[in-house]
Amino acid sequence: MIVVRDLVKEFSRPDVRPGRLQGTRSLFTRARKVTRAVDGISFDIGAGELVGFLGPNGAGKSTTIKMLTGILVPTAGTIQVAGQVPWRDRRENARTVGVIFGQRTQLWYDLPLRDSFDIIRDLYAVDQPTYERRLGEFRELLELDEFLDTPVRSLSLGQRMRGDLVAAMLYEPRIVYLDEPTVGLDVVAKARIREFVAETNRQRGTTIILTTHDMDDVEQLCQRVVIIDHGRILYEGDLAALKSAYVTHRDVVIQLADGTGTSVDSPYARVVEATAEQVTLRFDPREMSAPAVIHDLTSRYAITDLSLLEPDLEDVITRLYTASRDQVASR
Amino acid sequence: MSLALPTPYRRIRGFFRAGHRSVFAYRGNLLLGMLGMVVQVVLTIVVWRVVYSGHGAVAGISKTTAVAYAILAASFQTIVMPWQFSSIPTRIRRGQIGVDMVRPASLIAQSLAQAVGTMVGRLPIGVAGILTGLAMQGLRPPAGTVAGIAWVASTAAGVANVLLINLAVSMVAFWTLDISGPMIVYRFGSAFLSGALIPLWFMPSWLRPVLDWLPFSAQMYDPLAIWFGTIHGTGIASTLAIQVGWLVMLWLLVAVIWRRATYRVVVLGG
Amino acid sequence: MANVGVVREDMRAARILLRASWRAALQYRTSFVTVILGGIALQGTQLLFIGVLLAKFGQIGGWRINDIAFVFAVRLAAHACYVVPAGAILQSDFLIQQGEMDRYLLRPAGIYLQVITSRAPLMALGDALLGFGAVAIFAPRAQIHWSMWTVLYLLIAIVGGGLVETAIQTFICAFSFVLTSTSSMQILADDTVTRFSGYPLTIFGRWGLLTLTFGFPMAFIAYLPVTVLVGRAHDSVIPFWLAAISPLAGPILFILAFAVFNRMIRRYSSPGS
Repeated sequence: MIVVRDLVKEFSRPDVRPGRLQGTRSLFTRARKVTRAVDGISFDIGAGELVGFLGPNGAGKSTTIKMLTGILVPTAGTIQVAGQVPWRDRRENARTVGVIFGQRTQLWYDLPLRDSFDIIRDLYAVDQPTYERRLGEFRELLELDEFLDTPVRSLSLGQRMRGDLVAAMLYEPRIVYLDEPTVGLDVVAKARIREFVAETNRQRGTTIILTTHDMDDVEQLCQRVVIIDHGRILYEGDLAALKSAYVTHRDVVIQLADGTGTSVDSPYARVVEATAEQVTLRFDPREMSAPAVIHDLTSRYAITDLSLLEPDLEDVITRLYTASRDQVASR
Repeated sequence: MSLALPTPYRRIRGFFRAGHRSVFAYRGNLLLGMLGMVVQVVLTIVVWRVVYSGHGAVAGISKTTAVAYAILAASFQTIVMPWQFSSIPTRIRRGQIGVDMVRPASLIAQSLAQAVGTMVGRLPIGVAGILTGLAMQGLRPPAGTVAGIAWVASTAAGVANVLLINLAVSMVAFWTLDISGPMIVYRFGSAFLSGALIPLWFMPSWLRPVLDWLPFSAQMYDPLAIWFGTIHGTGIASTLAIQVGWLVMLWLLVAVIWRRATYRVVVLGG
Repeated sequence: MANVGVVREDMRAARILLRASWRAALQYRTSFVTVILGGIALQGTQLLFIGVLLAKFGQIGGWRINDIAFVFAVRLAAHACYVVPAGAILQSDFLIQQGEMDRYLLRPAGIYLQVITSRAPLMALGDALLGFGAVAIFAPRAQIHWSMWTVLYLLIAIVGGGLVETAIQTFICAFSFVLTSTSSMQILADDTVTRFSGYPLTIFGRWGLLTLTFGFPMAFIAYLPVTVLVGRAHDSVIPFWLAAISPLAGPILFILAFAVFNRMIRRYSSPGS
């Protein structure tokens, strides 16, 4: 479905050293600084896959996605999406893909939500029966009825996200790109979005590419992940394999009402920090399941509050990066 | 070396810097502004000289005065009346106004600081206009030392006048969110009525009384009339007095609008 | 041929997007009248300026009041022909900044089309009123013999003049894709055309006229076609035949500018990458 080979993207900016009169000097300098945002990336994505794109900010993820969707023209390398070159066959490509940016909406800001759907229907030439069927499905799945006639500018973030999902999928695209779809949403909203994305992938075989910082998004949705840093692929493959290779610990923090914190222990986890009220325990998720650890603790102690900390994505990537750097050094 | 100012002043200085920097924000923005000014001044001088050919003095004004007026007016206008009004309308639209409503003096001071910052940032563009005028031998010195000194005071009053009116018009944004219409009507209406576009000497006589009752002539025309000596002697004192009078009235107007605005805060996008 | 299908598609898309922009604009009911007034105020001030000048001075550069007023009127009408269909092109910087341009690249419609339909031409209606009103008033007073042919020539010249201004702004806005800000250039061009394209450009001397014809093609907007109509096209350094075909400059320049616009899209570097 998607074939990427040796993709490169360079950006060039006026090069001005910060300092006194920076503004004035910027008017006269001719020096330019070239950054390689994407530095030779290759990967394949098959039809019906649900792939996660991970990486720190500035890693080149969004640049790659923008090239995949046809917004940017690559400096070098090739991209084929469903047999087309996105930036060259822009219009045909536009009909096959749906894109959702978490930070920006594609809906018409001043009009009721329903109007945005009508406009998309017309633009993409979706026939009325198909439109009504699709809209009906979405209304049910995402509970749109309560805000279908509200102007988009008055919608909450969660409602707007749902609206954007519909807008992107109304014309049944074969590929959907989701760029940080759950950012800023509350727990309930996140769950609803994830549920919907998983359903779409399962039921319709829509190929889905998900860019996210949220580890739970990845856990619940992605079969494969591509991790990008400094414009290169650090890791590409199964999520399970990634975890077993790099996530070595997770932490559980419990609060106790009876001040017995210092005497807490567990056969499944090691105590890292303990005060009378709060204890942090650590376990290896490759060997022990979180539910087992939690169940054990809650059945033996009077716990008032419990949180399972997410494995730090930055941590994983740092470890990845260090590993790859060591690899290079040892050659 | 930075001065250690108390915090509220530091915040205001921040807004001054923001206004100042916005002029430099984009490479070439300032350069193009200066180029545009040069083009405008050159063409304006040519038009006035051609218009005057075959005439002596018109409405008592000589060609050299009219040309010099056009140069100074254009340079002043470009510094003092940039396209962007205060940040108030944008902040209202983005719903960022709520916090600042609690400290009214601060919001006004911030807007003024930002406006002054932008003006300072635009000085090079005005200078480009003046230099072009000099190069084309279009400028004339003030009508005397007294005129020169009085001009400085009058110009200061004119700038304050512009700042206050801009503020008042911007605050219309508290009532209607889309103020682009009123803004443009105001900006170009005032450009015409303040003498920025055409010296008030040439206005038809029936329009003169109207102009006297509006604050706009105090912005541009009064200072320049003093410079060129068409207002002289005791006229200078009375003109300055009227300018100050307008400032007082405008300040009161801003205060009244402000009080009504605080009862009417509409926060968009909350 | 593939191109015909694309054009038809875009016509459809234009109707859909314009309808949406109009509906959005009409949400702000309070400003409707003031917005139209605002549209008139911008160009109308120049008209007032020339009116006052002519009242006091009687003639400019050998051209009498009525003929100069007519040139101004033609310029205003041409401006309306630019600003009503394509005025939104000036938003290009803003659209890129806001991420709207990225979205346009993802839709099955032309980019230029989406840019110019992004805003309903509300203020522009004021310009149209002013421009065509001015022509209606000053055309009969100009020293022109009006026949079917001269009227036709005038109409073509007005549309052509609109296309010249559209071409100028399209060319400038094409650089929004690679520069952070083109607003200064847009304003510089707009200002120059607004203030000076209504004068008999001979007042700027030989080199001035040549620059304003072949450098910055302002002369094609109103001046050259009107010289043909009032019979002054033999007076200047511009050859008669060029003045006679000046209405054609619009379509030619627009096609060139449009091509540049589409080329520049390839060099787009979207914000926040």
